[in-house]
Amino acid sequence: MTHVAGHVSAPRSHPVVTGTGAVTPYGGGVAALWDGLAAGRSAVRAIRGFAADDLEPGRAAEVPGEREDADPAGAFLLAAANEALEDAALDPAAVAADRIGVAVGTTLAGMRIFEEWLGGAATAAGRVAAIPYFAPAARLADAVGATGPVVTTQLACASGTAAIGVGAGWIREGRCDVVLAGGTDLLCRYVVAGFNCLRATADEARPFDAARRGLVLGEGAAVLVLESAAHAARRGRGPRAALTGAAAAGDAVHMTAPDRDGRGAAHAIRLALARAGRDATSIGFVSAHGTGTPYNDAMEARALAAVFGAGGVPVNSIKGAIGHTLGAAGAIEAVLCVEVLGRGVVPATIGLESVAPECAAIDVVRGAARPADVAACVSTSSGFAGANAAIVLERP
Amino acid sequence: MSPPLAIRAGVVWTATDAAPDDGLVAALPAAIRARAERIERPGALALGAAGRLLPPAGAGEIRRDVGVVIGTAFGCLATNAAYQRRLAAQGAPGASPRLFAATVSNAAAGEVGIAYGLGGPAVTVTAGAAGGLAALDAARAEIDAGGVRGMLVAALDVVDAAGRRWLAEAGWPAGTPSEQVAALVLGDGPGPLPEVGRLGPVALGRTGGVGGPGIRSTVARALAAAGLAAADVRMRVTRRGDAVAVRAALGGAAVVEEPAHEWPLLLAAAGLAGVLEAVAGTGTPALVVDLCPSGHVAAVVAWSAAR
Repeated sequence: MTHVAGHVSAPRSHPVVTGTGAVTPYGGGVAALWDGLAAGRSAVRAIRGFAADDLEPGRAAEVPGEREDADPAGAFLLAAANEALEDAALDPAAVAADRIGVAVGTTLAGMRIFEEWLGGAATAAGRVAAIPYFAPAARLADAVGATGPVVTTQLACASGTAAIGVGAGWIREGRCDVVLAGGTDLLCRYVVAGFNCLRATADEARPFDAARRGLVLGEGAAVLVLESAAHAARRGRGPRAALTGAAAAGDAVHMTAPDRDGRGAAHAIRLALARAGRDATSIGFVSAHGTGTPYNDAMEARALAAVFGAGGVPVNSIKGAIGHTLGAAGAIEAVLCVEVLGRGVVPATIGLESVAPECAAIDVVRGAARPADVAACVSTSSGFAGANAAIVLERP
Repeated sequence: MSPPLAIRAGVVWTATDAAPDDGLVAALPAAIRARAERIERPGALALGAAGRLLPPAGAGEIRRDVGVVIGTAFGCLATNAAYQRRLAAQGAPGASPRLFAATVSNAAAGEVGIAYGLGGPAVTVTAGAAGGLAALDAARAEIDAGGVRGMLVAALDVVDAAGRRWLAEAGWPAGTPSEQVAALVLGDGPGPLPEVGRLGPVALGRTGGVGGPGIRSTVARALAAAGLAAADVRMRVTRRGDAVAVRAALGGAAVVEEPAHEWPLLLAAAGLAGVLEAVAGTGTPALVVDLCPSGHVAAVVAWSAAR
């Protein structure tokens, strides 16, 4: 058992994942996500969805297709949830309404609408209601008729991972039979200009690479259907994965830069492992945050080496492929983990050609996908204000 | 059934544009006060409230067994507005690094973590104006999951002109403080703090349409989690006027107490303020019911330490 100071409760019945859904810059669907990663394709292009002539860099990974919904961030989330429910063969109407929960992470929610509304544009009542951070989760809850817990987690870029942890906790505590857990975020001028002014962006993201210069932003959504093992068994649905551990921890060091030694990130991973009842040596894959910024990747390499040992576990990042999708990132990466557990293959880290010396202590999969018999994996995320979150997923 | 958790001390504070009050920040130790005076107001409120409850961190001190949860209705929306106005007026050159770095709703949690050395879970949640009790729920979950012995829980909102415009257009009640924060320590925090009450598990839900079936089920779940029946508790709402909706959902006969404050609308702070008012009384446990115009519902049983 990984040591964490203080008492750690004995594991209760772990929630299982019975369905996944995603909307990413590769298009709609988990299959599109996997196929894009397997093909080594980057979805980063010049921005087309909003005015970007004065934005430098002006590149991002946008979800393709027309936006017909007045609330695109909410629409991404609903589309991902619908795919996940279909994958789980679950009709929400067949579950007691107060036994269904919704946990969603987001950093922007209706910010595209807010941009126009703040500028004085007349905005329909329905669009105004979509502005606040709690709106996407509320919209999803109302769409499926959920009257159980409905919460939005906001840990900056760790929001999606944190939401999955919160939702898993409700099932573990016996408060819900089903939780739709995930994240959503939508690109806009507001956020691209913001990361640009922090000098955190680059034309391409090159996670852990010696030549990395910054992140590229992306958008999308992903949802996991979490169920109690008993509920899934009663309806004859085999699980795709078990969610056995989750934790969050603050760096408590700096507001915008990560703790250089990665102590907060390492603590979140260790606590998640302890709650899963797992030793670090039993982990077969880590989905890293891996933004491609100089500070994050160096910090993360230190944190992962501290927890798993030098070269101790295969690692990848998908942010070179689909950009940094902010509040959706942790949720999309959780979907990736479910795929890795099932397929036995770790996709290569797109954008990585030559591992930086400060990242050499970790085994980052690059060049080609790697077969790997993964029984358990970790997904880790970090964000502004020293936020860190980690989850542990296992083969059922 | 999870055992009740100790509530150790709490604070509730509001201010308006007409009557600004910087007493919350002015009382801070010099270094933290200097920081609070430089940053955006959500972070300043969080630092000020935490200062009433926690000792500052020693040099380099980071405690991994104590964390912080912030609950909010609108998060950093006021800061977002300030950033967006400059961007809209000046284009990309108007994007402010200082403001943009504060346009994350968890900035307040980060500030508290740094100032008070809290390296445990650092979480920010929103469930509309029920964000305070949602934060309490998240804090309790961290303690129950293990590896954490205490959590600072704060619920705060800053409402600027854009926020008031949103409230009006969304049809929420008018009349809310410009700045509002409530905070308490759940479990065992750093520093000696008296126990002022105990708290059962929080129940969260959605109203669920006409008749409020979600209100009934959320109340029932909070009572069941505390091992109590409706006859065992006195019922309190967190906002004036909510008693009508609660009575309607529960069948009309329920006796429902209203909050002491006069505000037509308190946002995320309402839930924690309601809990602190409840434990200030003695005798019968109180079921605190928090209804939000966005359709979120929360309920929790609280006991006075004197019981």
